[in-house]
Amino acid sequence: MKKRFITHEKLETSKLNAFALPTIFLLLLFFFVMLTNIRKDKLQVGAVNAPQATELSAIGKKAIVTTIYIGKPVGKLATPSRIQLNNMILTVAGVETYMKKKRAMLQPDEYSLMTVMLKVDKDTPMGVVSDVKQALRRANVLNIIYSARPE
Amino acid sequence: MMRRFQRTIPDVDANWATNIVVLLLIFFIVITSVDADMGLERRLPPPVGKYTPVKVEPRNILNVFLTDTDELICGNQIVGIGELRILVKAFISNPKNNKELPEKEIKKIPLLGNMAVTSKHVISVQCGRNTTYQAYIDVQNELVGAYNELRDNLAQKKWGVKYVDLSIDRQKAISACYPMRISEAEPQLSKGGKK
Repeated sequence: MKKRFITHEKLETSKLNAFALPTIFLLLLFFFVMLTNIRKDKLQVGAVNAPQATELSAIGKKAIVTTIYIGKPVGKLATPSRIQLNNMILTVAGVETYMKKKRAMLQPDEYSLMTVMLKVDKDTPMGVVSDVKQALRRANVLNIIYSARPE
Repeated sequence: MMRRFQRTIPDVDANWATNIVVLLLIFFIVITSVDADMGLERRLPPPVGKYTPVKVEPRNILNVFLTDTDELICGNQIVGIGELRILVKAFISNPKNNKELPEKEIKKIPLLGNMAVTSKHVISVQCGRNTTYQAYIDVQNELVGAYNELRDNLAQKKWGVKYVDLSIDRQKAISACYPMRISEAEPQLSKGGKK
């Protein structure tokens, strides 16, 4: 009888209750999963350092965003291109055809939601940027956002 | 006969789960890029040929030009980037109804009543082909900043809060008083620039 009582007490000495820990970590995990937007496209043009600005606004939630990177020129081709769109290195004409195709796939009421995010390196000459802008104009994609870093 | 004791249910060992979750957590923390997609929004003019260029009176235009060496020319004089905001604010608001600055038009705006608005002003930003992007963004930033400051001032005067804290209807009314009219013109061909 006495012996039984002792064993019982031994079982009662509980460990530190760690059940809550996985739950807390899971919550944190979900938080970070929600926060993460996995970059599908790997940067193929040279480094893109965004310029700095103060008057920034966030991108609209419903916007159909296409990102165009313009970095430092790479490649051994005679005319190095520095424009990247979805894992492809394109010329200005390529951007135009791609955007036209993309526009053709959408419903007419979605046209105004089409937005192009321009992630441009801060040392890029404006000539390249304006060529891209003119291409977007010809493709009739008119909403653009100049990506920038808050100061 | 010995009676079997009812045993306490053994603890489920949850350590493995914790470890895995922690690993995943670290993975996602590393992968997460906090840089939210922020930037300066702009709207390009419609494609050439689909519209006829409107003639604008000289008093309604403010020409901002960035040279290939990142010098800023506003109107006819060379200015520093710090002065641009003041010039642009004076141009947009035209507080004294100056004949040289944009003409004002009385407009009826919901929530605000009749307001004198410089509804025809245009700020034209042009640059050379070798202007750096950072300089261009600096200029664009100052222009947006000028509009934001004017809107903030009006919002403070009317409702005592900042523009961003207003309801959507009120924001619309305020932005109708200071409509953003920045023209994205094609770059000029300049000496030394490559086509």
